[in-house]
Amino acid sequence: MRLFLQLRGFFRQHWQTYLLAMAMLACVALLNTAVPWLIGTTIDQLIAAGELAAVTDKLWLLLAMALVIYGLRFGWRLVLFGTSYRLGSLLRKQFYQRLTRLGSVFYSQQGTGDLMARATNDIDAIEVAAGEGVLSAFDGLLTFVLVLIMMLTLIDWRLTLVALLPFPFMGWGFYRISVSVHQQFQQALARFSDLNDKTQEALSGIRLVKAMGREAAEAEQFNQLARKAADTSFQVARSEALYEPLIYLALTGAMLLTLSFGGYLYWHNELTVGQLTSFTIYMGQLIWPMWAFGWLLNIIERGSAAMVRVDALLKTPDSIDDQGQQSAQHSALHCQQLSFRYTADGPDILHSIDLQLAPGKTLAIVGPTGAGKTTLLQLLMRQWECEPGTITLGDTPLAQLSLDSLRRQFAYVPQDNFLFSLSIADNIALSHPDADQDEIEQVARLAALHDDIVGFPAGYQTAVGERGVTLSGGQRQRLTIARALLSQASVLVLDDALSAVDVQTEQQILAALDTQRQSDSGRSCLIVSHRLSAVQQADEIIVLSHGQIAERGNHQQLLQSDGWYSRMWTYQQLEASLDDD
Amino acid sequence: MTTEQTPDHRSSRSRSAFKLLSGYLWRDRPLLIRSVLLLLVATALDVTGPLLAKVFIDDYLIPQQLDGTMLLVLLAGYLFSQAGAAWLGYRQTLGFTEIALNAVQDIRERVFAHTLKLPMRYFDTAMSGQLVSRITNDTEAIKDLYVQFLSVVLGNLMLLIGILIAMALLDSQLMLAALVLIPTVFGVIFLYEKFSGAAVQKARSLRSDINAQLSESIAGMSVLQACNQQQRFSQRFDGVNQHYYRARMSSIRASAALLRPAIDLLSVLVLVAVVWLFGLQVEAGVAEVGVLYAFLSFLGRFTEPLAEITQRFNLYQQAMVAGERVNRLLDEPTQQFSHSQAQVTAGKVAVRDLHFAYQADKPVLNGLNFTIEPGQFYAVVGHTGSGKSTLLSLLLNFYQPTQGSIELDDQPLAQFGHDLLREGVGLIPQEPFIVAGSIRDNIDMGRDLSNHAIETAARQAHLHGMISQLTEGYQTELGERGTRLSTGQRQQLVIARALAASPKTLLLDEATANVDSETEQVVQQALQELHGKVTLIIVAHRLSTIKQADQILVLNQGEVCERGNHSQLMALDDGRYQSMYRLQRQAQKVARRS
Repeated sequence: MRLFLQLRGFFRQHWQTYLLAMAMLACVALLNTAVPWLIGTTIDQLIAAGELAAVTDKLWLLLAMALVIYGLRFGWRLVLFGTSYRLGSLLRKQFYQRLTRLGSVFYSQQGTGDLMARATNDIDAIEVAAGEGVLSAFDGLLTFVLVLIMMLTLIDWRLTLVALLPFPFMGWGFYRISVSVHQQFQQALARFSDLNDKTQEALSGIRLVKAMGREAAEAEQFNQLARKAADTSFQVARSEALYEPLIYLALTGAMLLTLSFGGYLYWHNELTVGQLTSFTIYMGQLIWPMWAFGWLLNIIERGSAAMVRVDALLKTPDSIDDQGQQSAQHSALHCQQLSFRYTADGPDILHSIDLQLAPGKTLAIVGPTGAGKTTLLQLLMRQWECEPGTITLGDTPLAQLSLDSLRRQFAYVPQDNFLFSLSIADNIALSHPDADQDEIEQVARLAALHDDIVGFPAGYQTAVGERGVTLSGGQRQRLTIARALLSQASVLVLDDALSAVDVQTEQQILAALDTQRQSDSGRSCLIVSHRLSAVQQADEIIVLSHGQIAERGNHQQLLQSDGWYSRMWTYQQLEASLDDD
Repeated sequence: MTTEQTPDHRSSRSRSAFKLLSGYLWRDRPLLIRSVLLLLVATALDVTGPLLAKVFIDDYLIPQQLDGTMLLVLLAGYLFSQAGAAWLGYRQTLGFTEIALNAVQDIRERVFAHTLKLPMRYFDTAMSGQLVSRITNDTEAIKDLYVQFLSVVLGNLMLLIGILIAMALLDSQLMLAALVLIPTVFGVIFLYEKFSGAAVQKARSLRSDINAQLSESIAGMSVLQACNQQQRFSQRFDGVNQHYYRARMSSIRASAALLRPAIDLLSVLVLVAVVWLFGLQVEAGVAEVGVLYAFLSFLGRFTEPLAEITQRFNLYQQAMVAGERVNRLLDEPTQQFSHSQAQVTAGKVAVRDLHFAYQADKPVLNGLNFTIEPGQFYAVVGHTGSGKSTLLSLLLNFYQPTQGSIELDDQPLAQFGHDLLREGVGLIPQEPFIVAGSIRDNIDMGRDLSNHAIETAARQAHLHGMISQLTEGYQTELGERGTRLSTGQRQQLVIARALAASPKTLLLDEATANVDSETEQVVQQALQELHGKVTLIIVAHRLSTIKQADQILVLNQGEVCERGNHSQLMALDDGRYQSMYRLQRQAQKVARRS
C-alpha cells in the first residue's frame, strides 16, 4: 500500500477520472445483475400473455441496456487504463528531467542499460498497479460487499460467519506471499537491469568485441545474466502461482463448512434447500473478489518494488545544487586561491590558482597533459563544486547564480565531440534551435565545414550520430566549433578543440573568431590548446603544471623567459616550417 | 522514426514470428504435454467438486438419510479432488512458466549472439539503444504468450469442449446453435488483430525509440548541459513519450471496443434473440419451456470461456509484434565467415591493389600494394585521415575491400573461419581494455588457454615478475573493485593477452594520446622481442617506436607516398617521413627539458 501513498499526488490530481471509472464500474455491476432478472420476468410475461407484442417493450429495453453496458465497459477501460498510461508518461518525463540535472559523477557510476530498464520495464509495473490494481481493488471490493450483504441479510448470518472462517487464513497467506513477491520482484528487476547493462555495454563496444574475437565470451556472459534473470523471474512466478491454490483451498474449506453447517441447519429445519443452493451459488461468486485481492496484492508488490527503483533515481539530488537566484551582471571571470580535489582524500588536482578574465579579453591555458587544464575549465563553468566564493562571474559567486544563467554565459567546445542523431543543421544549431539556414551556413563556413557538408547528398539535412553517416574526427570537431560559433554566449570556451584540424584551418577559424569578436566587443575567450599558435594572440597565457601556475604573461613575455612555453614555441615553429615544405 | 510497413509485408512477417514462437512449444514438447495433461486433470478434478456436493444434497441431505460411511467417502472424494485440482493447477502454471522462460532464454541467447555477428557496417548506422530494446524488452514481452495466453486459452478451450459435449448429450440441435457463436467470436478476434496490429506495432517501436533517446542523451548529457539544452531535449523526449502514450491509447481503444465488452454484448444480443424466437414459438403454440431454460443456462456458461479467450488476444498481439521485431533482427544477414579449417601458419600478409570507401564517392584507400613476409616488422604512419585506421579495420576483416584483396599466407582473408582468423591475427588496441576478473581471466579472455601458455605470454610481456610478487598471483582480481594497474602494466597485460594465443600476425594500434615513458618502453621491449618471430603491423603515432621496422609505409590520402626502412626514408630529400621524424625529435627535446 506504500505505493499508493507514494502516488497519492497523482491520484489526488486525477480523482475525478478515477471516480468516473468507478462509477462506470458500479453501473456495469448493477445493470449486469438486472439482466437475468429482466429476462426471467419477460419469459414469465410471455408465457402468461401468449403473444410477443406484450413483451416487445421489455425486449427493446434489454437491447438498450446491452448497448449501455457495452458503452460503459468501453468507457471505464479507456478512462482507467488511459489514466494509468498517463501516469507512466508522467513518470518517464520526470525521469528524463531528473537525468538532465545529474552530472558526470552520477553517470560514471550508473549503467546506461540500467537507466533504460527503469524508464521502461519498471514504469510498466507501476502503470499496471495504477490501472489494473485500482480495478481489482474496487471491483473486487464491490462484488465482495454485495455478495456478503446478500448472504448476511437474505440467507443466514450464522452460516455466513461459519463459511467465512477460512478467509482470515487466506488473508494471512496472501500477506506471506506478497512479502516474498516484493523481494523477489525487486531482484528480478535488478537482474533485468544487469542484462540491459550488459547488452548496452557489449553493443557500444562492438568494435573491440569483434577485434578481440570476444563474441563467444561476451555471449557466454550475456547468457549467464539472462539465465540469472530467468531464475529470478521463475522465483517470482513460483510465489505468484501460490495465490491460486491458496484461494482454491480456502474456498474448498468454506464450501465444506457451508455444506456441513448448512446441512446441520437444514436438519433442524432452520434452512431450506433453496437457501442452501443459493448460498453455494453466492460462494461461487466470491471466487472473483478473492482472486482480485490476490492479484491486487501481487501487482501492488510488483509496482512498489519498481517504484522503489524509480523513486531512488527521482530522489537523486542534483549533482550541482541549483539554489542560485541571480543572473550574471557581466562576463568577468575571477578566481582566487582556487584549489580542488575530486575526492576528499585524493591528491590536489589544482592548487592556489588565481586568474581573471575581463569581458572581451582572451585567456589561454596551456601546459603538459594531466596538468589540470580541463578540470580548471569545468570548475569555471561549475560542472564541479569547489570551495564557495573562490570563483565569481560578474562579481557574483558561482553558487549564487542560477545554473541556467551561468551556462548561458558559456559556449563550450569540449575535447570529445558528441553528435546527436539529428541532421547536420540541427547539430550545429544545438544551442540555438531557432537559427535560420543562412546563419548556420555562415558558421559552417567559418568552421571550414561548409564544403564538406555540401559534398553529402542530403547536404545540411544529412543525419549524423548513431544512425547517420560517419564523419571523420576532424569533421566532427569542426562541427562542434560551428556549434559554438553560432552561440551568442559571452564566454567562448575551447578545450583543445582544434587538435584534429590542420594549422591552416586552425588559423582560419581563429581569424574568424577574431572578426566575430570585434563586432561584439564584450565576448571573451578561454582557450586550452596544445598548439601554441592558437594562443599567441591571447591577452594572457597561463602555463599550468601539476595543478599550479608555472608561468604567466602574454606571448612576448613568456618567450623572454626560458620556460616550458618558449621551448614548446620553438618546437612548434619548427613544426610549422616543416609543414610549409 | 518508425518504419512504416505495407500490410502484406506485415502478414508474412507475423507468420514467421508465429513460426519462431510456436517452434519452442514443439521443442519443449515433453514439458508441454505434461503441462497440458496436468491442466486437463486439474480441470476435470475442478468440475468434480460441485458434482459431489450435488450428490450430497440431492441423495443424502434432502432425503434426510445420513449414511456415515458414504458421507466419509464423499468427504474424502471432495477433499481429494479439490486439493488435487489446486496442486495440479499449481504444477501446471509452473510448467508453462518454465516453457516460457526457456523459450525467452533461448531467443535471447540466439538474438544476442546473432547481433554480435552482424557486420560492422550494420553498427555504423544502428542505434544501440534500439538494439538493446529488442534484445531485452521485446523478448520479455514474448514470455506472456506462453504463461498468460497459452495456458488460459488452452484451459478455457477444454472447458468449452466439455460444455459442448454436455450440450450435445442433452440436445444436439442446441449444441449446433451454440456453435454458431464460435465463428462470430473468431470474427471479433480477426477484427481486433486488424485494428490493433498497427497500433501495437507502433507502440513497441516507439518504446525502443524511448530507449534510443535515453541512451543517446545519457552519452551526450555533458554536451546538453553545456549547451543549456536540457529543456529542449526534455521536450523532444516527451514528444516521443506522448506518441507512445497515444499509440497505446489507440491499442487500448481497439481492445476495449472489440474484446471482452464485445463478447458480453454479443451474449446479451443472443439472449434477446432467443427470447424473441421463443416468443414467436409461443405465438405459434409450439414452445417448450424446458428447452429454453436449458439453452439459457448453457449459454451463460458458454460465453465465459469465450470471453476469457478473446480477452487474452491482446497479450497474443503484443507477443507477436515483439516476436516479429526480434525476428527481423534475426533475419539481418550476419557477416559470413568461411568454414574452412585454413590456419594462419606462417603470417605472410599481402595487400594487392586495395581500394576502400565507406561512401561510394569518398575513397579512403586508393590502391594500396605491399607484401609482408613472415616475421617482418611493418609500420604504417601518416596524418589523421590518411587511412591508417581503415587499413587496420580491413586487415581485421571488419569491412570488405571495394576492390583488390588482402591475403594471409596466400589465401584471401575471406577464406579463414572466424575463430581461426582471430587466433592467427592478434590485435593490441589503442586503449588497454581490462575486464572485471582475475589477471588470468584477462589474459585468457575466455579462450581456455593452458597455464603454460598464459605464463609464457606474461613472461614475453615482462609481466610475470610483477604478477609473481602479488600474493594471489595470477588469481589477483582486477577491475573496479580489484587491484588497479598502472597504464604501463595495463599495456603489458594487453600485450600478454594478444601473445597468449601465439598469433602469427600481430596488429598494434598505437595510442594517439600522450603516453608516459614507462608505457612506451614496455611497447618497445615487447616489439624488440617479437621481431622476427611474429609478423608485426603497427599503426604508429610515435616514430621512435618504429625505428627498427623493416619497412615503413607512409600513407597520404589513402595512398602509399613513401616506403622504406628508417634510414632509407631519412635519406629522402624533402621526404614526408623525414620531416615528421625531425618534428618528433624536437618534441621530445621539449618534453625532456620541461
